[in-house]
Amino acid sequence: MTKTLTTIAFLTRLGAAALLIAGGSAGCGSAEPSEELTAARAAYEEAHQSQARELVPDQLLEARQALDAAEAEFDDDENSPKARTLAYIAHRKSLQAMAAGDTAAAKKQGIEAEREYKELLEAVAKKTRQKLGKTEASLGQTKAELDKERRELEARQKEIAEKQKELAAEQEARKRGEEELGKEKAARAEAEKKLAAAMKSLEEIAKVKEDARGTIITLSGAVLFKTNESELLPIAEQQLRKVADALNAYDEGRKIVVAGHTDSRGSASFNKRLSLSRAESVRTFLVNAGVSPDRIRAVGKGKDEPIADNKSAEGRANNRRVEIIVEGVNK
Amino acid sequence: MAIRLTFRQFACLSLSLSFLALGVACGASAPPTMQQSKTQSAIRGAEVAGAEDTPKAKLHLKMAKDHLANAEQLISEEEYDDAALVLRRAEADANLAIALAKEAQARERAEDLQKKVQELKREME
Repeated sequence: MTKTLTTIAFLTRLGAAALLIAGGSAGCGSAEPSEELTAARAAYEEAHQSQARELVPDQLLEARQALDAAEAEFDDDENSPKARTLAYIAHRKSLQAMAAGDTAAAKKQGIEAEREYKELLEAVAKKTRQKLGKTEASLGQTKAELDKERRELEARQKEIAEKQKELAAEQEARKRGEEELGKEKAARAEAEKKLAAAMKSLEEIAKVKEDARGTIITLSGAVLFKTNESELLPIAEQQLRKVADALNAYDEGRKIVVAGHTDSRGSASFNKRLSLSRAESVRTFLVNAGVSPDRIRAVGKGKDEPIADNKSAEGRANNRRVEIIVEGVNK
Repeated sequence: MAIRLTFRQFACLSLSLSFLALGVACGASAPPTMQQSKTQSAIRGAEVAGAEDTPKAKLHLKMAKDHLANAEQLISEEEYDDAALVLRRAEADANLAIALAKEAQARERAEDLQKKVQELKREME
């Protein structure tokens, strides 16, 4: 380059000398434009057509002025080093103006893209917020529903647990009841069995019948006492023991009346006394044999309630008797 | 002065005179210190602007540096006028390198943003 410029300078000087020699005036403009000037003109033309004219008019103007200066120098001094340098500079200025125009356009696009990007981001954020809001709302709702459901379930569980407890208690009570019932039943069966056995053995020695007053056990007077006596015969005690067993087998709640009866012979008062005394003897024995004294009483009926004809010996024998009346439950 | 000179004599004299005149002119001019520092700062500006990262800018930065080297050579040879012109070329190339670097950066940024926009649009679909 240095060499070229030096050569150019030398040639220019030579040209100037030649002109001096020719005696003509300088700057006739007949020379071909330099490579630099041609390039500068083309570059300016291009810059003028580019977006630089609209976007960076100041820079285009600078390029124009640079080109004008180069042209003036060319007119003045043809392809002098200065003219060529100015053309070179004008070329660069045009390129620079174009670059500046492109820069401005790119910046505009950048700003536009940035604006769009921001808008999009905002839209995304808004959408996301809305979605989040919705999700939160439905989450809250779901949570409330779940809470409610959980409370209901808990209440239900409690209810069920209580019911189970109640059921268990009921079962327990029923079981106990059944057991008791079973025991009671067994006890009753046992008592009934005992009673049946007692009654059976009683029936062997006494007449047993049921009537409105209850169960009536009739013992013959002859078996129990000597004539006109109220002291029990030894054999009678054996029989009365069976009676006592039967009475003890009966329900404790039932009252017992021991009633003495005579035949029609003798005075009424004597008979009354005798019958009562005999009934007392039987009562005393029975009490001693385990029958509760509270439930048993003795009465003397005398000859007032015969069950047979007193005219015959057999009838009188039947009338002489002790009745043990076990009263009905309803009494 | 009516001295008649032959053509050859005239030519010789003219040449000598003109060389003398130019030589005097050259000798009289000062080194282009101001232009040199303007050029150097333009080159630094181009480097700072990132001209090395863009092929076109890099090319003109290299031209500027080459011109500067030539100019320094001319200065050392006391060819100050030529050096000044070469320095002006260097400055023009350095300024162009700056403009090209800026253009590339603006373009890159715009493309980046446009790409982001496209990506976001795709994501939103």
